[in-house]
Amino acid sequence: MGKGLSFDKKAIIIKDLHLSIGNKEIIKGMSIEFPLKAITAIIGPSGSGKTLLLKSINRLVDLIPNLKSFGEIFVILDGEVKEVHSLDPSYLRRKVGYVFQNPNPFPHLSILENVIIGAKLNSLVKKKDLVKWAKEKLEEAGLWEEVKDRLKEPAWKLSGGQQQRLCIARMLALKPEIILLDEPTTGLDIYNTKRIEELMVQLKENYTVIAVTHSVDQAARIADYIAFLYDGRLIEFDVTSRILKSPSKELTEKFITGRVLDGVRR
Amino acid sequence: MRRVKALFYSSLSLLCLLLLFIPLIWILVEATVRGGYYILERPLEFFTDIGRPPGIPGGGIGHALQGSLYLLAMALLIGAPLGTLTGIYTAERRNSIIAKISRFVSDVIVEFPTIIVGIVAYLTLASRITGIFNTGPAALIASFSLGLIMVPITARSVEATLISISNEIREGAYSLGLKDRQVLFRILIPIAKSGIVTALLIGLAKIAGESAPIIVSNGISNFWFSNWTEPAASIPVLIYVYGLSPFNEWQTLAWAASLILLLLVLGLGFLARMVTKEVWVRV
Amino acid sequence: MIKITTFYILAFFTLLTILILPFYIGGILYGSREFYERISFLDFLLGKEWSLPEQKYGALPAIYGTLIVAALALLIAMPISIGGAIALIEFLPKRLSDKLGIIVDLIAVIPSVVVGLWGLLALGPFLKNNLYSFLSENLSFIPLFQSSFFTSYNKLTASLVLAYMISPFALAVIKENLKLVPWSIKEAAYSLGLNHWEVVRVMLSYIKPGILAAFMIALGRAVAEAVAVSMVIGNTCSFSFSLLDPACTLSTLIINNFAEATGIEASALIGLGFVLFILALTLVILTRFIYIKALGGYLR
Repeated sequence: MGKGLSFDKKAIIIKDLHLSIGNKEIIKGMSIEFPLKAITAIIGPSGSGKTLLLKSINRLVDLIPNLKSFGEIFVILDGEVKEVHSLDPSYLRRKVGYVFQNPNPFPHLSILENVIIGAKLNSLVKKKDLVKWAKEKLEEAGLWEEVKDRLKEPAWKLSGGQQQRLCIARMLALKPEIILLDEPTTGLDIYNTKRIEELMVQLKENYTVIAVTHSVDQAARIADYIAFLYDGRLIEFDVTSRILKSPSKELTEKFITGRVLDGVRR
Repeated sequence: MRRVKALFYSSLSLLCLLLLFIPLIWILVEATVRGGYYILERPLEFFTDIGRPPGIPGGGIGHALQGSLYLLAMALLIGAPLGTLTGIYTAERRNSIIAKISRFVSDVIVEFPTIIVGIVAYLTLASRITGIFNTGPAALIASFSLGLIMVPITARSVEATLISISNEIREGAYSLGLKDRQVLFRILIPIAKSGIVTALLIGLAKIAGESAPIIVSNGISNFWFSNWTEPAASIPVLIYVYGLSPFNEWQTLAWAASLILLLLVLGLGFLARMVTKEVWVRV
Repeated sequence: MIKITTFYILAFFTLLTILILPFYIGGILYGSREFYERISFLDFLLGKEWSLPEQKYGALPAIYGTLIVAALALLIAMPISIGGAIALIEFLPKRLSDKLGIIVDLIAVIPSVVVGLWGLLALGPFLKNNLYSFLSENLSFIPLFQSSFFTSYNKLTASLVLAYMISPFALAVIKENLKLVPWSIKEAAYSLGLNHWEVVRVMLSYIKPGILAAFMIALGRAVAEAVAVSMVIGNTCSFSFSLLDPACTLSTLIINNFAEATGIEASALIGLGFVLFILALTLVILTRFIYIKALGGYLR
């Protein structure tokens, strides 16, 4: 599989992805290669297909009714090149962690249970090691000091920023190799935004990180590479400094200078 | 003139609302005055004894309580799983054709005359033609009709509960690599637990007061529960029979039984209303 | 080899639920088949006499009774429901109206047999002593109140009992519809200098489809109700015009006789059930479409 593709320092290769919901085509033929163990930021106006691109990688798009998509998405997991549609979605989603725009801890579970539920139900960790595992992951997500005395409390009692870091810990507990983040700092205060940005930079040591972001500034702060999407197409992909300083496309320049804020050309 | 008219009609609308409360209060007072005293006078006899022959004072509704308990338990056994699972499916596969048809069917049969449900259950299960039981009127058939009656209302309420869970929770669960079964039973159903319980309470409240399907499919019994293939006594039917009888003692028992049934059904309804804000007088 | 997944199992139970509707239809058709082999459906439907001892099985008196009592009940229930809904939504403070709304919802779950008992032992005798005596003494020149009977149990008592049972349902639908009236409509009405009551009238004309839906839902329930009506209607089949005369309905005949009936009599009762079934099914399906259309109208 994936013959003729060079996976040198790449984690994900998307070939000619098309995606439509009902009669509306949203992703109109997109090919991207995401580098291994680096942060790639996806930017673009709303409606450009950022979130659906992200959800295509771990096949969360399968849950959307009336959605049709074709094209190939290759990922390297456990050292092998695999096409996502040939994989068991459960395995794929475990290996490709996802953090949502709004924190979504499970409201019926405690802080501790939220962290371990994925690992527990997927039998990734021995039962007696679960609490130790949770501590490790909460530390990795930078939340341990704040919650170590209230692990039994329901997760919804945490603040928004803490909830988001809890969701990151929950995702890390699955031992993923690739991490997808969909505008993870939306609606958070500056302090929590900063914490999560630092966390993302730390994560790229061990993981491939792809983050959709609504702010060019955030992309500039954290990303190694930037992909600019517009109206369902990849307009430009390059290292961050080049995109920001000398974009090759006029549209990119317009967007990063704030002249194309929103609204997809029909 | 316009203001007088406005005042007149606004007071009229308040009067309409008041009119709706008068019978409720009247019923509660009547049941308490004409039945409540009997319960207080002979509580043990009332709850544990069987009805007496006409003209002989005393007696109780023990047999009807017991019968109702049996009928409702079996009805729950039949209707609760069917209604709950249907509700879960129609919520979680809400765009599928099966879900759409199921929603339509539920909306149609929920408004169906319950007496017809009793007749159909009787015809198909008890008649000598099909001979499935060949028993004539029987408790099991009454339970079966009550079970069917609670299915659509339970299904629709369970569905509403699950739909109210935000999609992000669902996606979050799937993003952890959980299987359908785990997403349902470890995440969604535990979150919706109180709503599902409410749905069952609403279903139970609806069938606990039903008498028409029991009368046509189970007939009338004044004895203790003996067998699923025999008629069973029940509180609603006891109220019907004793109420229509010309005997004072029986009418007293009917009022007392009404009080119990009212407390039970209003209690269930009130409980359900407290747990969710969902209007259960649904269409 | 099909893999049995969770959703296949759920789909299976959902299909079972879907089968309930054909089960009802098939069951009633099958049960009344024997009867129509002996008597033509049209003869039965238009038969003017129902008498068990004489073995005369005509559905018309019961249909007449059903429609008259239902119509009268709606005539009483609709204005009260509309008025009550307006009071709850427009004229009462929200906290009070929420509490009263719960009580109205609770009225809907009072078992019909309990309402029937109240009609039988409280309301009926009360009306006889206080209203019917007056009507038959002073207003008997009006055909509606002319009666050779002097009884607590007649069409009027039955309609009143029925009206009470259907009102909370009609009220709930109207209330939901009133809530859906867009603020812009109210604003426009107020800006024309209308007072509160006049604005309510504008709202009412705006939710006409919703009121029709409430009417249909109430009608469906009125036609279907068996036990409470059978306790207060007097159970004598006739075409009498007077409100003070007893009558019978489709469901009261069934509830009174089905348990002991055998042979052709049982078949005739199932035949009545079939007529009731057709009536109810038509109403229910019609209601669904009206209701969906009503909601669609506001959401447009």
